[in-house]
Amino acid sequence: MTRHQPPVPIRRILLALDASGTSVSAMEAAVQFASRMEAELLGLFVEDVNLLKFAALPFAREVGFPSARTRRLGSAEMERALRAQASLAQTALTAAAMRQGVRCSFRIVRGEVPEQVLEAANEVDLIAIGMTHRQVLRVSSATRLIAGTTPCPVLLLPSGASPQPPVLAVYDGSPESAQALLAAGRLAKMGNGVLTVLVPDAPSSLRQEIATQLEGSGLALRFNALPRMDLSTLMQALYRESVGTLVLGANLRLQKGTLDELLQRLNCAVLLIR
Amino acid sequence: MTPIKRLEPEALCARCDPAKFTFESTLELDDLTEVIGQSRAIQAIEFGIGIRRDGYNLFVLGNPGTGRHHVVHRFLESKAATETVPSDWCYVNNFGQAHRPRALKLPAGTGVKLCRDMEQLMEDLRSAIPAAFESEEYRTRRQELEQELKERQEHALEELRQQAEGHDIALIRTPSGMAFAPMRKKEVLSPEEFQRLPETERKRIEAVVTSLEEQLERIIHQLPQVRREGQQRIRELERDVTMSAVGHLIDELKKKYASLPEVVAYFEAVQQSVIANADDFRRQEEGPEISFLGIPISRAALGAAPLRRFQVNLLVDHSSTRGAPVVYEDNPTYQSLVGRVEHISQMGALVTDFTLIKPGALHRANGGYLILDVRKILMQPYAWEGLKRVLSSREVRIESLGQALSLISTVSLEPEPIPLDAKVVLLGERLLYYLLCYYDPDFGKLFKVAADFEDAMTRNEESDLLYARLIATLARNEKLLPLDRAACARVVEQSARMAADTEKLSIRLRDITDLLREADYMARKAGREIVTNVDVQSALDAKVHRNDRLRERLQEEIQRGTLLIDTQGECVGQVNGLSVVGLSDFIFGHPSRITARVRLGKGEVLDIQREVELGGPIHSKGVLILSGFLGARYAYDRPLSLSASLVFEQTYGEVEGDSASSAELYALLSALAEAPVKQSLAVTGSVNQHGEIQAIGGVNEKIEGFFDVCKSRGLTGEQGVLIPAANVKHLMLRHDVVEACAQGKFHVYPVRTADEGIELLTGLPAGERDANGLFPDGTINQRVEVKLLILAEQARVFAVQPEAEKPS
Repeated sequence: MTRHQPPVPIRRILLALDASGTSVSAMEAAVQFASRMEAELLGLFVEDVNLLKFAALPFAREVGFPSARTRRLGSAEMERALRAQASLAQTALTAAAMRQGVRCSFRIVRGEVPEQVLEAANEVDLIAIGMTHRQVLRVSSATRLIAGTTPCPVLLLPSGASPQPPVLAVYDGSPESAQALLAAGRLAKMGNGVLTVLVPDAPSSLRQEIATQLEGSGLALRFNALPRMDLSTLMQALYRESVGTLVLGANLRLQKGTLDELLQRLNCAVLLIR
Repeated sequence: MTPIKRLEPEALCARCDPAKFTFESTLELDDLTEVIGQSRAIQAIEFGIGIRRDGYNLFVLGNPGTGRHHVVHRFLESKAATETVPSDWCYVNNFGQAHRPRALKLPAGTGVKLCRDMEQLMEDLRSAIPAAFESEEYRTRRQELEQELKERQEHALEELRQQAEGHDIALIRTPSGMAFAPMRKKEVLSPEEFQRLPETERKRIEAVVTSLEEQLERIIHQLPQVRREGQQRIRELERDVTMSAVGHLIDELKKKYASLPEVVAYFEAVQQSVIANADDFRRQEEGPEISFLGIPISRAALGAAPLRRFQVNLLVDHSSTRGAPVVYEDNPTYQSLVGRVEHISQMGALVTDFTLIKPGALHRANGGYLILDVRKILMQPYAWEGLKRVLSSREVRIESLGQALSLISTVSLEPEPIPLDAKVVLLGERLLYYLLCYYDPDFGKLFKVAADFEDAMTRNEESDLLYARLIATLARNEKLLPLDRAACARVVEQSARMAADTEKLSIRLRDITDLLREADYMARKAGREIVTNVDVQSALDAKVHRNDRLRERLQEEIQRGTLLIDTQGECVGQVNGLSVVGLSDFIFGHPSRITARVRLGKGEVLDIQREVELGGPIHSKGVLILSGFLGARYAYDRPLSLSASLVFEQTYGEVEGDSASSAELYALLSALAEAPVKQSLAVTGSVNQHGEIQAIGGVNEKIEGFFDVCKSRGLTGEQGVLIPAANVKHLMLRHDVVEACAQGKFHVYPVRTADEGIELLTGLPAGERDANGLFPDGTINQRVEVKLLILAEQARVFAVQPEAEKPS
């Protein structure tokens, strides 16, 4: 058993923003995270070309949420709306960054959202994505695409959640989960010094591996054995632990769709490690 | 007329002979258990306590120091001891209307138990409710419900999204909502591509989009309803969980208090409130210190506040009471009678709740007796009105004065009134009783029984011994030295002197107890282990000495000749009158010179005191009676052509009372008869229109006042005092006076008529009318009549006009 290399230090964080809106609380959480990591924050607002195309259609209309009123949309209105939204996001992000003393830049690009974000991801060490309206809408396909494709870690921030203790990692022995364990250990150390690890209910060798990985970290380790690695078992365990931040390896050996469903249901910050 | 005999020494003071006491000291005497001399008051008290009807409250009237408090307490306590212990009273929260706390009546001793049970319940709930919410069952069910809610919300949109996808249309997010966009190869169709589509296809897409938008609108409209339903189900789950924790605890209590339906109903309300406010029990007690604007806020005030409403305010606790309560309220203010609602300061504002209701004396005395001093209650603003209102309505309603007088509009609490079943006993002076009877129309309805305490009891052979037992009891109660029998006898005599009556004994226990205490002090000072009559006498003398500065000054000024009083020789129209001066409870007598001058006039007797408004109405009445007497006796058939002036010489203050009217008459007769009056005698007594001498007050002090003047100048054996014969029974003179009389150095003459008096004073016979209706020559009456005749004749001569002046 070899000890894995420590994760790449996070120096630059990209906060992806688009027309679906990012709550102020998610921005605050991203800024806070950047501050803790002593990282620089890059706000990237993507003006979705699909929206502009749609607005140019003769019958383009939007149904307001939550007002449920149908409004006529035109290219000019869409341009204006996107500019306004970008401006609002920039103001809120800059203000939050100034408060926390985080270096921050803001960029507006036009194109397909996943493509633009993935392109920008080459410059950064972590992508943060705010998730809104999850009560009524499923996680957007763009978010899923980014989370599933990007080579760097992704921090998903539901409304009202921030990456805070208690920190919980899922470990199944895979290299990604080992990376996740180290990242979780780092987060836990910045928090309350306690790390809970969900492990499959298997031979105790896994626990030995974890202990070795985190040797000398000074963390208090708690283990929670899972009989199965399915959605409901995971959900129950996470609910019981009142988890604040969940750290996962992106290619966890789970049934298809389980990760999507987890992201859909969880109310805590989720850090996906690749 | 038979000469008036001087009174024998035995008549001057009804001595109490120590020889008739068979005991040596009061140690041998049993305690006096009965109340002596107050049979009327005792009967009234027994009646008042016994009768259990509305309005039969007691008013115990009499002078202070007659032992009313002691007697009332004793009677009430012995009666109360045989009665049942009344109920406890609690105030509990009214969960429907918090500003109207509910009163709970509980069997004696149950209040404390209920308090403890509720405290225990709260403690149990503080752990049971969080535990129930921590349970696997609750957490799982809650998660299920939340998930279900989420799914229901998602489901509708997801279905719509899939339906749209079936038509190659995507549900996309726009800056302020959602929209349906036609897609080709995962990209939104551009306008050019759209335009290239056949028209039918374009129309189809538009129609589908329109239909989808309508459905989306409907779904968004329904979302709040779905959310409400979901939240309602979560609330129901929480109620069920709380109920599982509370139900069995409350059921146990309901069983325990099953015989008290009101308490059971209260538990029902508690259960409902706990279920509705389960969050209060789930709050974390630990945490950072809370502060507002930098001021730390007490956690007790904030955290415990929600649970305060489940406390029980035990207003009246009879758990350790035996019998009915007897309460004496020393400071009967309005609030100390009816209770009050206190406030606590929270963040600078005054707040209150039912736990801050405090009982009044009426609450504590409910089911028993309340004793109050009427003078104190009348001096406290609104206390009397408050007491009457409670007695009339038979319920105690706690209202602040501000509320009662509508001065404060922010009503804080209106506690449910508590029914009153208590007897109120007022103690007060007679004057207050009669004033209340006269001026307060409610008084008669509310205080129907009056117990009137006597100041004195009848004195006879048995009573002296009974009194000795009273002395023994008081001495023992006060932990004083025992008294020997001579001392006892001296106290009995002093008691008669206090009553100013040979046939009465004072039962003003306070004065007697004071005398015993002072005699005890004297005995201890002299190193004796028993109080003797010497100590009693020393105590009496010391008390007089402490108070008689003014008396001494008057005596001194008489001695030095500043105040002109003759005690020997004779003088026309001048008599030594006697008056008393009252200073606090010390009164003394002293002589005053009364003079009369006569001349021709129109029948008026001029009272100089009255003219200068230094005479009171009773004094004036006495002088007017003189005119009536003179006119009727000496000039009934002719005008009374006399002008007389009477004066109290060297008095500089108001003179009141008619006890000098006989002295004034003697001065007048002396002036008319020109018969000198012996200055060795002094006179007291009032006179009526028939010349009879009537009783007066303060006879002992008056005699002693003149005696002291004579004694300081040297007793001649001629000196003495004329007193009304009716006052002989009041004589309890000082021993030195009696001694002087026994030795013939001083005399006391009982006088029945003015004739007897004038004979003694002038040494001349008064004279009675003979068969012809004439007084014998040389008698006082004859000389007066002749003088008046001459004056009348002179008046007639002056009234006839001279011839020369007649008109022609």
